[in-house]
Amino acid sequence: MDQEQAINEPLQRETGKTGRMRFYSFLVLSALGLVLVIFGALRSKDVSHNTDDTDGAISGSRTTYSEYELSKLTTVGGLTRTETGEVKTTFKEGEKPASECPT
Amino acid sequence: MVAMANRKSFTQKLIPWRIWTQLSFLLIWLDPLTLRLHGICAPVFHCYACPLATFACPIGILANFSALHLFPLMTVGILIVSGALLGGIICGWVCPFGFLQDLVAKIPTPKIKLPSWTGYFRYAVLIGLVLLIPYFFGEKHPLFICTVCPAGALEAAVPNMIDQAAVGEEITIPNTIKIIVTISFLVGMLFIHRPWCRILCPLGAIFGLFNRFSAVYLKVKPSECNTCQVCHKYCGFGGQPEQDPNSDNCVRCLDCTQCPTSALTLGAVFERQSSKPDK
Repeated sequence: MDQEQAINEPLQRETGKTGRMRFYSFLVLSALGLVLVIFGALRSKDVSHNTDDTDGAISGSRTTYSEYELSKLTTVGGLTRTETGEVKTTFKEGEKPASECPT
Repeated sequence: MVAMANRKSFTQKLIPWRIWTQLSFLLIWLDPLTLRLHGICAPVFHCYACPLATFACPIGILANFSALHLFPLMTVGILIVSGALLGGIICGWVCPFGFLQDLVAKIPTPKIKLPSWTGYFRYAVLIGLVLLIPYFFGEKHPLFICTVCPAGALEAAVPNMIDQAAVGEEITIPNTIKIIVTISFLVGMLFIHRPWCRILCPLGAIFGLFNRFSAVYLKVKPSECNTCQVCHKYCGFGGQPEQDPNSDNCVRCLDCTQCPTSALTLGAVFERQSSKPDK
């Protein structure tokens, strides 16, 4: 019993306060992360089409995209920010670029 | 006493499973079901311009959204949740780019051990190439992370060049900086253990920060550590696990837990905690 206690005591010292702090940090960070994911899933953002892209554009009139779609569009470098601060897309739905590599 | 011995042996028994875990996750990242869920990021370094990428690269999204002056809520949320839960374990057990470097490291070449301070370069890459340059100069800047990233070169540019050559199209050659970085990385892999993770990986920098808060962590039992420093030799990242088991450089490969006294073990916040106050 004494031997077991001798081994366990330092472990308890180590995991006591540190372990509780870790546990609370984990709870807070997880909650924050989940809130961000939910807000991200709900968020949408206005994006304009380039005026040239009339045929095959994602949607003829739609200019609002979810964060999911924005993330997807960045794959092909399909989003750009103009000097006026407007976010535009040149991506065409159904069109698979020859190379998706941004280089 | 018996329970503790069992738990120690459990940590050590996990080590051989690492390569199989990495291989299993690789199958998930390589999109066997051709889902191409690029609107969601996986918390690993895998270029989503890769023809076989299931999910988006979180670093690619961070950089692109920074260029668009948007905050990627979902990506940051996914990184926080996965970091809070696992921290550096993602780098060591889940990331396909880390797996590639682990495989190359098995080639028997002399390995150089870099000092631990080289890990700070990762934060410079994260802040500079991923956040600031895209924010102020846009995605066309030559140092935009995606245009210099070796993962993009190996996982996307090379397959795309092969594809273009196969169908007789004009081949798109990556830019000079990307070629130099990639060749340096390929050579570096032979002589440095995980050079990308070690020195430059911006995602590793993020998860490294979580090592001190993550639910799963490494712990030292001072009563069993005789400061023999054998763990220093096991650590491929030049760390001192018995002094700083939750260093931001640690990828949780668990090699250090093979120390003769088994003073280092894997712990989790879900274990029953002591009610005794700290001394």
